[in-house]
Amino acid sequence: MNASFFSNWRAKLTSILIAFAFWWFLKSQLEPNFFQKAWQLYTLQQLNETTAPPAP
Amino acid sequence: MNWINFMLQYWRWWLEIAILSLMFYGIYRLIHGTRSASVLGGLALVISVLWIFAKWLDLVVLNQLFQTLLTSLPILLVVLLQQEIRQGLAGLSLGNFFSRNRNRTATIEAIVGSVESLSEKRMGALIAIQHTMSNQSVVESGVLLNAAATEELIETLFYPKTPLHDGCIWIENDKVVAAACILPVTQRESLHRSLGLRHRAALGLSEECDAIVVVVSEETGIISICHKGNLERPLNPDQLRQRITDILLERKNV
Repeated sequence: MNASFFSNWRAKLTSILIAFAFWWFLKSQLEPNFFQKAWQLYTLQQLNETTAPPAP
Repeated sequence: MNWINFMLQYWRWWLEIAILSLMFYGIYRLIHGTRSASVLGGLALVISVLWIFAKWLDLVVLNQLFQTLLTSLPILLVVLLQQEIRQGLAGLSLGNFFSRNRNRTATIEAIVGSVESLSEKRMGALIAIQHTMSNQSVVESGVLLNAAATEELIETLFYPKTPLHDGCIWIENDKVVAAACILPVTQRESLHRSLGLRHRAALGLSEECDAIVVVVSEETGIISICHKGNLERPLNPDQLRQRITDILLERKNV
């Protein structure tokens, strides 16, 4: 791996954190409670998969 | 394991965050060390604090104002960062991509040789080497030459009491395009008092475009280099050669 990949790591980490915060902000403006909804949907899917009747 | 599966299912989120991270890092690279960076940083801080405050206290009018501001943010950014955007787009152009790795060794040697000689003789010099972006206003402020960049010519141009010695020479495509050019002076106040007008002019130009500016101090003979708003000094001729080569061929973090 190129050594320069880790150079300027503070700026790269800050960019990722700012991007994450910005994305979260915009996403929650577009879909309020998007994370909770996605998590609920996911757990429901999991529940359906585990309790689904066996295929005939 | 549930968490990992959940995150994998929503891989589009990660893709969006990755693209946004790249965009933010690109903007950081563009504006790092320039005057706009501090203006933008201050503006972002003030707006963020006010916005959090308005949200927290549920101030309807302020919230509405910030919503409006958010929609006009792209225009504000373009106005604030016009220099940097131009610089970034110039770096992307196809012509630069093909000409970037052209052999510039002879010109670099001429510059380093003349700078070494001028430094020994304690003669002040200010040399701008164009990188990816032209600066027509600076070129037009001087006397047009269009002569091959040789060690003898550069040294002669900075010989005291000659009409062209005062100002900067602009080197573009291995030619001295103009001499006695007038450079913009940096507005930074945090500079050391020992740095005179020549160094401030070099910094001013390097904040405006991506040119490499080499300075020889008249008082001390110290060699400095300015690039993207950063001043490096003192340099010996070998370090200068290495630095110019690195920047022109973009081999290192520039």
